[in-house]
Amino acid sequence: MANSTLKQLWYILSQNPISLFAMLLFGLFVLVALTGWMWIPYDPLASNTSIALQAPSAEHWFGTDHLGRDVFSRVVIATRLDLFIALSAVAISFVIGSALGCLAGYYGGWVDRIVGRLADTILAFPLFVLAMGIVAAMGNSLINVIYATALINIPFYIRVARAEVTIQRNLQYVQAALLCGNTHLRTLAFHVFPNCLPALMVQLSLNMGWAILNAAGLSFIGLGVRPPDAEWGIMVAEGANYIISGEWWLALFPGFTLMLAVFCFNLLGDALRDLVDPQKRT
Amino acid sequence: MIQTSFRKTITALSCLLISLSLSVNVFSAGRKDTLVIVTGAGVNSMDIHRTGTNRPSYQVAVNMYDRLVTFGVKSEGNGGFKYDSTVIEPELATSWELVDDGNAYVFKLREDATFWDGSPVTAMDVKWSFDRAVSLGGFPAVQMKAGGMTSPDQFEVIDEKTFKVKMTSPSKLTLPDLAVPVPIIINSDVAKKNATAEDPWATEYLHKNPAGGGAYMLERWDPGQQLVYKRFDDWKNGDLPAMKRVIVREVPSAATRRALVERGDVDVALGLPNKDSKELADAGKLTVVSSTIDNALHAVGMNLEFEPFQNVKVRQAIAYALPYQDIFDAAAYGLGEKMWGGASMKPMTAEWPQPFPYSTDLEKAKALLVEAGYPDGFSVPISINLGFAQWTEPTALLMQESLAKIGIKADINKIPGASWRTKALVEKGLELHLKNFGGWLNYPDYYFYWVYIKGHLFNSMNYDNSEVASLVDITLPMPVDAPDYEPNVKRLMEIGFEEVPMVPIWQPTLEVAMQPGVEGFVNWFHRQLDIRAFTKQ
Amino acid sequence: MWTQKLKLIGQRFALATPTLLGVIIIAFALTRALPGDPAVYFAGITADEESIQQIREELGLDKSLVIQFFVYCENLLKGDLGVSLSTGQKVSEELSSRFPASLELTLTGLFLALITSIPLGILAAMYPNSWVDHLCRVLVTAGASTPIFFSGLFFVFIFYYLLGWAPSPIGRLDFIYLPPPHVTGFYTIDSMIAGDTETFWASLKQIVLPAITLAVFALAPIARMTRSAMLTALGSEYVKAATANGLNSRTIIFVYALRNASLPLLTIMGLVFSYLLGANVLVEKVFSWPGIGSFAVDALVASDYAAVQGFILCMALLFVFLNLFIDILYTLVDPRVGIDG
Repeated sequence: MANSTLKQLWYILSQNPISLFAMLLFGLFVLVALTGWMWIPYDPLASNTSIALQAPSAEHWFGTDHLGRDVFSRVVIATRLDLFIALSAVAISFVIGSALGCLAGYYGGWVDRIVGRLADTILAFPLFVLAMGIVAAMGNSLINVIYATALINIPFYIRVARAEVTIQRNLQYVQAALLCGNTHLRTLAFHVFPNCLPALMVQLSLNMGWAILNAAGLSFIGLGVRPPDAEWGIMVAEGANYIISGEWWLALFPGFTLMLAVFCFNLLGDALRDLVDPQKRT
Repeated sequence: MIQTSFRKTITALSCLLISLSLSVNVFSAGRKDTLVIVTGAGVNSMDIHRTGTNRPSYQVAVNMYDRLVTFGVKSEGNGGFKYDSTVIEPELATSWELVDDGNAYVFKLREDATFWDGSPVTAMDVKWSFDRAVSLGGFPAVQMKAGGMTSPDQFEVIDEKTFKVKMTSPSKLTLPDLAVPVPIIINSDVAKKNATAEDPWATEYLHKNPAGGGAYMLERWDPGQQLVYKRFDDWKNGDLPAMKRVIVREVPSAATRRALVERGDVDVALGLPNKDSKELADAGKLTVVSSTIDNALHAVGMNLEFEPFQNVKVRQAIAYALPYQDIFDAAAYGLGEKMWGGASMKPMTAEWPQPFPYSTDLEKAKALLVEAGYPDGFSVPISINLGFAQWTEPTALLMQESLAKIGIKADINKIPGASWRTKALVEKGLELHLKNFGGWLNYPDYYFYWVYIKGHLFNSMNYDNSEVASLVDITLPMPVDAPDYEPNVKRLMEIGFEEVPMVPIWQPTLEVAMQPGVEGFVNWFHRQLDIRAFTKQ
Repeated sequence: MWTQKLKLIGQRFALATPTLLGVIIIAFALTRALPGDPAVYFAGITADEESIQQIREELGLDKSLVIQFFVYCENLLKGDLGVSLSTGQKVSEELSSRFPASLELTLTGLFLALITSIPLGILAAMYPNSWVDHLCRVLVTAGASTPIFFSGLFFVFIFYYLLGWAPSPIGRLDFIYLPPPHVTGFYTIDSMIAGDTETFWASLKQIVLPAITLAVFALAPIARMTRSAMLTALGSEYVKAATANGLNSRTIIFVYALRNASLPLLTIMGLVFSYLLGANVLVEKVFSWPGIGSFAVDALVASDYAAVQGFILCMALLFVFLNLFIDILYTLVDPRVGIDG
């Protein structure tokens, strides 16, 4: 099974160069996140105001920021924090959202109604503003940024999972599974749910990016990660003040890396979709 | 489906466009006598006395209303002006004298001064306005109180054009306090017509409809977007301003404000970050005015309720551990007056503010910490106000790094502008924090009154010293030429140096960029916009 | 048939009520949990304990939370959203005057996104796994991957500051124009109604850059959904049947496949619209756009209860009605979906 999945993966990757590229990029990001601290050229937190705001050069590849810190080192070291925020937020919303959505779609009735109202209530807020409100009310910390990001993404999983399950539950294989003596919950978890994964995967791929962007947006207005920690969003926000005055490298490099990471997640989502999509497997 | 509707829209659009005539909505007046100003913060009320009126709104009080007196204004060269705290000049009052053994002022009002509606300005209007300022509570009441004015009984109409202000005891602060934006003169007939039983002071009406006699009238106000002033051509209380019309547009992003003024789309950009101001000045294409704000300091506050800070040696250690020059370079971009490196622990002059006798010396800081019994340091959060992130953030980061070198671990605690007041000034619960306070009335004793006395609002350090309290009490009403004034002030500063509950880093500046040919920005103690002196070629 | 539909619509309205109630409670709870004492904030720079207490009483903040909540609900029923402390205006007036600005921007952005991304999605679905597909994917994904404030700032930098093609980013109209007489609140439409070409162009110029910033961000979800829905539709039995019957490919794609693909598209559009309204906040900040998004952020930062609540309620209403609208459309387009939710 595992072997055939790997084969399948390789087949898809070789068919689709962009997915391959995304996969490699993802590998690179993971590698940078894990080993970055070992090989960065400068201390990402050490300031030196005498070399503040220097343009990119052989010495400082991405230039230096307003406190003379090396932008390259900061961009590298930020990878770990950003991936951590995105992964934890998405994991929370995926687990909670798809579970609720499946239950709602499968059982219908009052379960569906309550879950539906819950999702509607959250979605009735402009999501970014809701996230801001949560972080502002619960306290300005990293963990609250993760919770807020997770919460605003839950309804998306609920909706997708519910819609998929509503269609799937009327299909023959569900009846077959039930007739074989599976309980409803078991049928839902092992027969229906896997068939909803493709749609959920597309959602997950988008959400991964949105999670980082959301955290970056919160940083832009001053919430979230605390200085002096390096995080791409906060670096763009800080650098934004310097674009007009010509110091574009402050915002450009972290912004571009941020974009690349989100980009990579999005493409990766597509690749995953291809992998799990039963239509393609045949 | 979508394509057809799109095609339809396009067709409809083109039909409309063909049949359309020339715009009827463009302002006919040229830009010659119109001045366009961009600012970061917006006006939220036309009434300075109202609860909740924000600081940028004080410009309405300045430009649309008059006071009895005003401060002199002197040119700083380079197109900028600065108010002169030592000179009090006539505005609505043409003359005044101290009577009743120095216990009251009598003001003669200008004979031909009128409100915008043409009705003459009388002493009754002044009394109604001053009564309002002391009766509505909140900020105006507190500011009036600083000048010794607390009750309507203190204001007396002598005749149509003569007005008396009685003091409870003589104070040097009363006359200057009549020149701040608060004691404005309102057209009381108009206001009373719009007052109700529940709202005797017409706060609802005046909130949206100014009723005054100042140099400019309201043309339009779109809250959150723009404020448009038009000149009151019959203004008598000063030189008639040159600009017929002034548009003050809100642009929250400082970078955009810079771009607008740099590209010549607007005449004046206010509230520029020091860095932009410096670069624009270096580029030389624009007139950049940068001048220090009187009686204002950017400083580090240490809360005495936090145990280590109760020890004066720890406070001094912090004062020796600050990387002053780095902060000044990275946070202030070298604009402002340095407030470190003073020569001796005793002040030589009564000048304020003046450099404190500390400079970066990590060895000494470390030694002081050991003496104080903290050889391994301690940890303490640095709290900063996000509303002023422009300078607080780099300052905090540099402090954090430097304090780590003497063993003090300091996490940065970012507090949104809205909560800052509660946490720093009311609850006074921030251990180590960055503060900025500027006193409206330019006297050192006035600064000490707000910042160094237990329980006073800006004493976020909870500093308590009975000698300071009694010195301030005696000195505050004292005229500056009194024999005791200078020694008292010097003693206050000496205590400030020695005890350092707060360490000033620099005296900040106001930064403004203007198109060449535009002149007349006035640096006021209230830091808000005065449009009356602007000229444009 | 019609009575049944009306009944279903009525049912939908009834179902929206608990959502609204939930929104009111959450809005109230959230704003009360905000740090910072508004009484202190609005007492002014030199207020003392006494004047702060005075303002606290004036704002009703000295009462218990339960009482505050009931007072709030009572005022809501009267249509009174309170007065925004930070702008000093009635919240209802403030929102209604700013709302068209946000709506105009969001709809323009959504419109631009739709006319670009649906063709892209169809194109990608028609040639799956070709270079066209890959290029579409890369393009829209890159758009969705760019932080909106970052792209906004760079657009301003490039198109206004460096090239001078775009007008200054200072809101809906340049200084020299007056807003057109109010009809719809959309400057572009109102100026056309007033027959004022110049103001029309001026307002169009102002909206282009922020709308593109929004649109770039919204391309991906719509294009992706179009592609995947089209792929599913193109692979379905009825399309195969249509192809077998010799219908031409244009008809198949635009009539059969797109019609069936419009279902998931509708769902995603509702979500994208809500997301764009949220993302508006940052765009409005960058372009000084006087909409409700920037108003809400300022209010949140100032702990301006009334304004935040008013904003949230306004949004909630909008979104609940949008959902209703989509649900109803959904039933109309797809007879299989019954209203049983």
